[in-house]
Amino acid sequence: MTDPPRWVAAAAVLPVFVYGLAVTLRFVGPFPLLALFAAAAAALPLLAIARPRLLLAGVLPSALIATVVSVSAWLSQSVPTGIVGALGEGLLLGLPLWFAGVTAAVIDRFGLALLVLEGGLIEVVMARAAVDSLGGPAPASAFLPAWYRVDGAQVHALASALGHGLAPNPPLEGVLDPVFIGLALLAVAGLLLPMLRSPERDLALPRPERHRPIVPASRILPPPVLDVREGEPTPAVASPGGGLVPVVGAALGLAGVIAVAAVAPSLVYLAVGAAVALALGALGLLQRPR
Amino acid sequence: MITRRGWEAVAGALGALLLALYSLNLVLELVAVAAIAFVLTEMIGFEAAHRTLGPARFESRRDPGPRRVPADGEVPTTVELTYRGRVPFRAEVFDVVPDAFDPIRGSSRALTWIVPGATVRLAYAYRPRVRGAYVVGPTVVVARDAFGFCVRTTALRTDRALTVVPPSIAGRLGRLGVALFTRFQAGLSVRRRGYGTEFRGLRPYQPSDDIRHVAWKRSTLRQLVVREFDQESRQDFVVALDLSSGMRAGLWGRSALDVSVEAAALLTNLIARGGEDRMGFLSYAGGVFQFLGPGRGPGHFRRIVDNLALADHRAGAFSLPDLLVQASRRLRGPTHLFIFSALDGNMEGLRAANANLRAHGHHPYLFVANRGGFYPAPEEAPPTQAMEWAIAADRGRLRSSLAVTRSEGLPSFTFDRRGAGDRVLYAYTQIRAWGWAR
Repeated sequence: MTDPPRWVAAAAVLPVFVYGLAVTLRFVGPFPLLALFAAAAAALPLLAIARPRLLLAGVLPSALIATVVSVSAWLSQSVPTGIVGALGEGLLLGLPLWFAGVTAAVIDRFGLALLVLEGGLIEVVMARAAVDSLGGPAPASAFLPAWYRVDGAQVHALASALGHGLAPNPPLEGVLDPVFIGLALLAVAGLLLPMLRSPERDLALPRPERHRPIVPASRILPPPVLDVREGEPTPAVASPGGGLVPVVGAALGLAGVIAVAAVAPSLVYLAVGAAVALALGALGLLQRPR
Repeated sequence: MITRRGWEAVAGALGALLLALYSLNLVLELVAVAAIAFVLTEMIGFEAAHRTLGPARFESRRDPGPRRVPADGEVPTTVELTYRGRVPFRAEVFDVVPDAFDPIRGSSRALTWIVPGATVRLAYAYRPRVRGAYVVGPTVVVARDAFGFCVRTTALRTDRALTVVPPSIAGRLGRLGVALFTRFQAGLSVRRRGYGTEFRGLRPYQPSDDIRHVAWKRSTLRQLVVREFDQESRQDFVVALDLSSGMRAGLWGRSALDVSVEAAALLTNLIARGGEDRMGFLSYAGGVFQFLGPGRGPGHFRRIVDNLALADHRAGAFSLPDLLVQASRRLRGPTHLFIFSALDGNMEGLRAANANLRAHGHHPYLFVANRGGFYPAPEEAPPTQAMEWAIAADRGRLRSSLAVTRSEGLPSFTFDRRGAGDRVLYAYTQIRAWGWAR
């Protein structure tokens, strides 16, 4: 058995982001050439799936476009229009692919990949909510203001929830498309895939043996063998894998959240926060030397 | 202990949870909750299961190997450990081996799955490359969780001290001191005809013979007879090592001091095999650091070899005149003094010190490190001008130093990274044959 290659994990992650792109393209358009150019620039991190070293170079153009659009919006205190607006529309169009590329590039680093995936899922949900807010097919120029409106409404709802405990219809809350849910679960599965290890990889030594360079031996005759003794190393045994303990923990966590949400929805976040703090405290206690 | 990957997973899961809280979307929230529950359960489960992991959970044993090993020898070793705990785990087991030891066969590391009662054996061979005192071990067991989030480390007391002695001592020594009683050892004559003071026999005169060796009382008018002598025997030798920073020149394991020690060990070996001569040791840096008077016997030679193995650089300057003065104060009988040095210090008073030493019947011989020869030309990059300049400057300094010592009648030999053994061998055989070398 060989290790699941990076492209298999990337193939599991990619569909949910393609779904996000398709949702946008289905109802919004046509996009101007400049917007398509910006979208192509935003999709450059996809190259990092094949060559992770290209990640930084792939991220830089989209970061540049994002800076230009953000500065322009901040200076004008309004949604950008014209050339900058077209750049912004293209950036939002290519953003799901940006997240797909970055997630696939860092997929060996579980924590980072999880963070990027979650951000990407939120971006897909926001795109879906923006398209829904348009109420049907719309020109590309309407997409950027819709996106800003959804973002503003979400922040407003969150502020209300924090202030009064009530969130007046947050726009992202209602996106519960079954296709999206299925593809999101597939992406999470793809994230876990690199953590499954084959016996060959499991028995590979984590660090190469390094020694200080020493000058070549000056001895010409073969060296003496001292204290010859029979002894064979015991063969290495592959570990059986992670086991079900973390899976059971995840299932219990989900069940707990759903149970609390059913009984007292307003206490869900408090309960989640308390549980996480408790778990981190227990971990800290276990870390202390005995 | 949480690994970097573990911290990253915790931070990533917490970040994802915050993002999910921002979205207020049920799907995203459940994904984030599942992720953080997965990570924290794995970590807490591992830490709780292996909290008591320590040396008490293992029975460890290292095969007792030799305490003294010659450099470039080969030492097989095995380490066995049996796990007496209750929870199986994925373990990385490795034996701590000094950098100066080259692994030859097998590996001092293993990654395996350990179950209760299981025995893990590391079997490997290494080759010590640099003389000195070392410790092999301890054996370290690192327990890792399946996802690399946490590790637990424990060190087992399997360490064993090892002295790596210079390589020429590797040969088995003959019966020490036997030449004091016989001319033969292992079927070979250990004494040679020479110009020593010990009488060997009479033989007819030949035109090339020194007229002073004619035995007049045994000669007749028709047949002149000459006395033959053995090589000079039962001589005293002392090796003097310069430990100052000037002897640091060269690569690690092949510095001027290392090469000097190797040559001194060769001389010790030669003298120990002959069994007649006596050997002593002196080290100098800003003054005499160690002095072992000339002697013979297995214990004495072993002491010299051990001191050679552990000889290291010290703070303090080298002064050849002071070394000669100090040596003449300590040496009893006439002694051949083999001095290995870079000749960095000043030479003031060399004439008087040398004259004083010789007046006591001692003979100094200088083996001078040519430091430019201790740095091989880089194979991949062209030599730099700075290096060439440094070598040229040192060569000029060496030339002037040798001019001074040779003008004082001190036999001086230069050596570089290729070794000083041939020079020492030449000087020793000359001394054995003629009583002196030049």
